[in-house]
Amino acid sequence: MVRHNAGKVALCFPGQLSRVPDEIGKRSGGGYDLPHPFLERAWEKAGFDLSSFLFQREEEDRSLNLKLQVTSYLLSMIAFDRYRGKGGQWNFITEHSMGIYAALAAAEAMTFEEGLQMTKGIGLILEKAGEKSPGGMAAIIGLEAEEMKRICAEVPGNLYVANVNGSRHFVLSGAVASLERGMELSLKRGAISAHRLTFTTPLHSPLLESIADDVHRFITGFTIRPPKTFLACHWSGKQLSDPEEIRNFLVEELYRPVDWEGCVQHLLSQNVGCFIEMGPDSALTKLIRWIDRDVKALSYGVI
Amino acid sequence: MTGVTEELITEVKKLIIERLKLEEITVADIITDAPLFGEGLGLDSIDALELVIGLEKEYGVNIPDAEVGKKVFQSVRTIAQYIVDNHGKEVAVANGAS
Repeated sequence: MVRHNAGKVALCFPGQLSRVPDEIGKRSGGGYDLPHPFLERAWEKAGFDLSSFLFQREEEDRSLNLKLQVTSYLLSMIAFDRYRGKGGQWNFITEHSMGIYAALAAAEAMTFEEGLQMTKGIGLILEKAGEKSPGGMAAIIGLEAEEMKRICAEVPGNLYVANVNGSRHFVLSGAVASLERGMELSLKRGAISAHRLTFTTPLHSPLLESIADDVHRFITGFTIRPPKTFLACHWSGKQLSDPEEIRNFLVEELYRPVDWEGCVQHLLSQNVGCFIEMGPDSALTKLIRWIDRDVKALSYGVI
Repeated sequence: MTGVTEELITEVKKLIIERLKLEEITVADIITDAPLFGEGLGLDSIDALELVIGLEKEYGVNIPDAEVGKKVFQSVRTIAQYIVDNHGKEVAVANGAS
């Protein structure tokens, strides 16, 4: 069981991984063979095999992002199941970007299977949108908010700040040519790094407003219940409690920016003293370290 | 490479552990010439910004851009060399930070 000193505990569900972490393959002697009942259900319900990192149906297997989205969901849910199974406690559930689906399942607003199907279905809609009008995203580290806004305004075409992850950590989203120019300008103006993320769609930018109807239609088929834990979303920690409000969030969050810094600040103001990342990576843990060096933040891991 | 002392190497390792809150790692675990990013300690660009701020605070040395950062953050030794080359140690001593 995870021990913490003082304050409340927030479980943090991260967004899409950029790759499957090596240690998962290495620990199991090659392949991503991580024994857990969730993986069998992923094969039955979504036709996805984590050990081979392949979808059963060839037409679903073409997209790296779709596979990474489903993988991220599965690994977050496995971490959560491990934590819960060992008697771990929590007061809040929060999420970053595509981490919302696992967060909803963990908060019992949806079942594991529903969360999985939603992750895959929205992933497919995003993939189609990316094929129709290609875009992308890039993480920029080192510059401040004003400079990021200036760069977006100066670059020709459509470029937006998609994530505010910290006072000097941002993600830009937009059309490919604008994004490349934005990265170039960021480095020229002193960013310590600018790197492309795997996304082929301009997620969390107004360019994705065009898929709102498709997403809305898709999620109509799902039963969403009120979360059993306080669910603080990536819109500055706003609480999601009403199923209808959650539906609207699931549509709108795809074309609106993530304010992770605001979310963490809000949870800190609610006396959270321990943040636990649910997944194999430590990206959110490191961002929390930047936002507040004194608060306890750790990644729980999946193995 | 000149002017890099073992004492400075140890200080840089301590700075990395402290800034990145690497609670399970000791000075002895960090190999002076091993890569810091990707392999080795497996640091990433979020960690790099922490180190940039740490070097500014502790030694008064500035990493102006990504190009310089790539060269400086190759290993503990290249960080120590950058501090020496930019007279960072003297700044730290003058400020009473060392």
